[in-house]
Formats: sequence, structure tokens, C-alpha cells
Amino acid sequence: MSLPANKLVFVGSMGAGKTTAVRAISDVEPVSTEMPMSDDAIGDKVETTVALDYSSIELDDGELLHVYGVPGQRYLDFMWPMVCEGALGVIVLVSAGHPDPVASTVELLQEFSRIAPAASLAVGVTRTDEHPALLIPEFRNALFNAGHRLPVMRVDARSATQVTFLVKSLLSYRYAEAH
Amino acid sequence: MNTPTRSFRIAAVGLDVLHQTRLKLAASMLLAERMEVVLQPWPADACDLLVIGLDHADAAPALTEAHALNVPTLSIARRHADPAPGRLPHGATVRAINEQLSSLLLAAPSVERPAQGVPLLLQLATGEGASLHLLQRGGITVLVDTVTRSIALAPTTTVAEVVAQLDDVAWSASAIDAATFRHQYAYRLPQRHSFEALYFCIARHRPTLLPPVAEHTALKLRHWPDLHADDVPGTWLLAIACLHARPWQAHALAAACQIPRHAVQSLFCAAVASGLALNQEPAVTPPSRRRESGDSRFFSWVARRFGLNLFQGSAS
Repeated sequence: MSLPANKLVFVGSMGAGKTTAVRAISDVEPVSTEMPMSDDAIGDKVETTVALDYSSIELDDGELLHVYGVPGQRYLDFMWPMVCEGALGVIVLVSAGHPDPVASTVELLQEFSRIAPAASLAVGVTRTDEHPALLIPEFRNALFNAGHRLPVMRVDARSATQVTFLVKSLLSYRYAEAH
Repeated sequence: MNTPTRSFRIAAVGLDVLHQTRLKLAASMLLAERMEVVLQPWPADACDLLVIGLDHADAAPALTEAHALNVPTLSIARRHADPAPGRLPHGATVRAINEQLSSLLLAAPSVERPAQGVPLLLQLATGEGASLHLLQRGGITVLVDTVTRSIALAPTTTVAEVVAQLDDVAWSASAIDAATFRHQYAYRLPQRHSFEALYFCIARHRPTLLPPVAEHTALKLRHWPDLHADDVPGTWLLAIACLHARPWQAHALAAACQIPRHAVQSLFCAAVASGLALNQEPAVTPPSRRRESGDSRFFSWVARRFGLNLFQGSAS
């Protein structure tokens, strides 16, 4: 008997807010593999995840939803299939300050559509307060033109309310697509 | 939030500087009662009340005209010894004028009338002409950018605050060029929100400001809308997801998602106003329930943990 899809995965490039988002919705402090940044620090970011973040959320009957944050860098892609096995949803986080947010998001969406075909995908755009020029409709339409029609929304990874709203959107989208 | 400010027009004639000034103060104090007043000279095209200085030579014809037009009046005259409804003695205080204005406007037939017409911001958002418009009302400044289809706001202003004031008549608007915005306003208005986000916020707080959609219209969302957690309730997400998946009519969607019909109608209005609506025939059959399995049971637990109750067709 196969296990139910019991993982939620956040993926994105450095500084997108994966660790912060995982922490925002977790019941417990995530197990993290953050290390001090070298010379490529972004703003006030002083640490970055070198492997993955893991946390869990307790559900009814004591079952666990496993929550992962995985780096989007190619040299760490060996982890992606392992983490995504049994994922019900993958949320791609992208910073509005990324030099090419559309291309980087499309690349991750294509990869994770292939790696986790049973998972539903959504996109959260972080740091829009620092980079207001990125508007969601334009960004979303670019993803659509690349073949991805899915929930795309602004999210402040520090806000449990906003991360929860993004997860709710993913779950509602998954439900509606399946029924 | 759901109690809109009511707008009134008061005309004045025959008042000396003292009473004109007191009238202005008294009228501005009505904002505390969510009554916004525009003062204008008489004769006026349309007004809710005429304040008239009977000691002035112009008063008599104005009074006759007001009675003929069925416009309520507040008269101020030396011959009025004591205050009475619609009458004040010369030297009436700001408080006395304020109280009279309040009671007369509340009794006026137009008192329950919502602001008429399309709010200025929405007119500019959908109109032709200059691409940048600066709107100001009190402490709120909004830039309307029709090229990027967005509004720019000050750091402390929320979209909901703008929406609450949308139909006030006191907004002023001026077209500006990109260089002026960049040099004088960009640093003061750093937040950007798309028109889509604005329309869905209006749908939540002031849906009557959006153009209505015919009752039996079936539509589907072209894309997932630009939604913000502060402006759209979680209870709407399932309905939005359903509209994203396939076309629906409002009554069927309300029943399937177990949310009020008016909420779905508001969603439809926002979808049409934002240009996201695709008019399509709805699916013939209602969505079938997936057979209960271990996977769907686990999914229902996850959904419930995040405040959704999808498997009963509702979200909290």
C-alpha cells in the first residue's frame, strides 16, 4: 500500500525565503543546515542553506506533514528527487529582486513538474516590498506563456499569515483541479 | 469598512464672512459622522441643502427657488430669535450649525443614496488619456499607472484604506509625467499593487462599486488572480480555485463551495473588471466527489490544518 502524499516542499534560489517560510508555518523549530555566507551576501542575509531545511506539522491523529526547504541551485539537484517523492505540493519561491525571476522560476517549474508529476505547484514571489517594480500579473503571464498556469502570488516569507494563505491557495488549487 | 462615507452637496447664499466660515467648519465636522460635504455657491445643479442668509438681498429669490425645487433649507436671520429646525439666529455657533446640518441632511430624501457613478480612481484606471494620474484625498495619495495597470501607495497606506474612500467626492486628480513622478513622488509612494489586486479588494469591501455581472453568467478565470492575504478572505480560495479550473455559474459555485451567493457574485464582478473572466458555458455535471481513500483522507487533514475544509466544500 502506497503512503499518502505527505510532503510540502519549498524550493528557490538563495535569498528567496525558503528557510523563513518553513519556519513561519512549522510547529517546531526547523532542522536547518544554514551556514555563514561568504562574499555573496544579499542585503542583511548572513547565512544560507547549504543542504535543506526540514520541519513537520502535526495533523489529526498525530500524522505528520513533512515540510522541506530545498535550494534551487543545480549543484544540489541530487536532493530534489528524494525530497519530492510523495510530495503533495511544491512551492517555488522567487525573490522579486532576482536578476531574471521568470527564467529561474520557469526552470524550477519544469524540473519539479518532471520530478514530482503528482505534486501540485504554486509560486510565491518574495521581497516585493523591496522590489515593487515586479507586478504579479505580468510575471504570471510570462509563466503562462512558458506553459505554466498555476497560482502565483506575493508572499512575505516572514509572515505566517501570508505563507499560510499561499499554502491554502495551493491546496484549494489541487483540490479543484482533481474534482 | 462596510459603512461608506455618504456624500452631500450644500449650497450657500447670502452669508457674510463670519457665517460662511462657520458653515465651512460645521460642514467639515460632519466627517466624524461619515458625512462628507462639498460646499458650492447657489444656484447649484444639484444639492441636498441650501444654507441661506435671509438678511441679504439675494435671499428671497433663492428661498423661493429652493422651495420650488424641493431643496431643504437652513436659514440664518436676525429675526429668528431662537433656534428651530431649519432656522438659526444671526451669530449662530459652529456647533449649532453643525447640528442643524446633520439633522437636515439625515432627513433629506437622498440620505441613503450611495455615491453615484464610477469612482474617480476606477474611471482613470479604465480610461484613455494620460498614463499617470496623481489622486489625493486628505492624507492619502495614490498614483494610478494605466501602462503597468497598477497603483502606487505610500508605505503606510493599505489597499483596503484606499478602497474604503473610493467613492468620496473629495478626491482631486492631476495628470503627471513620468519624470515628475520619479523625482517628486516615487520615494513617497514605494508600494505597487496591480489593478487586479485592487479589484479583488474592492470585491471584498465595496462590491457595489464594481460593474454588475448578469446573474446567470458563466465564467472561468483566465489566470489565478493577484491576491493578497490581507485583502481576500481564505473562504474565497476554493471558489477561486474552482473558477480557475473550469467555468461556473454563480449559484452552482456558491452551492459547491458553501459560501454566500453575494460573495460569489462579488468574485464574478472582480473577475470581469480585472479582465480575467473568460465567458464560457459551465460544465454540465457538478464536480464528482473523489472516492475516499487514504490519500484524500490525509489531504483533508492537511487542508483542515491550514484552515480549509475542502471535503465538505467549504473553507474557513
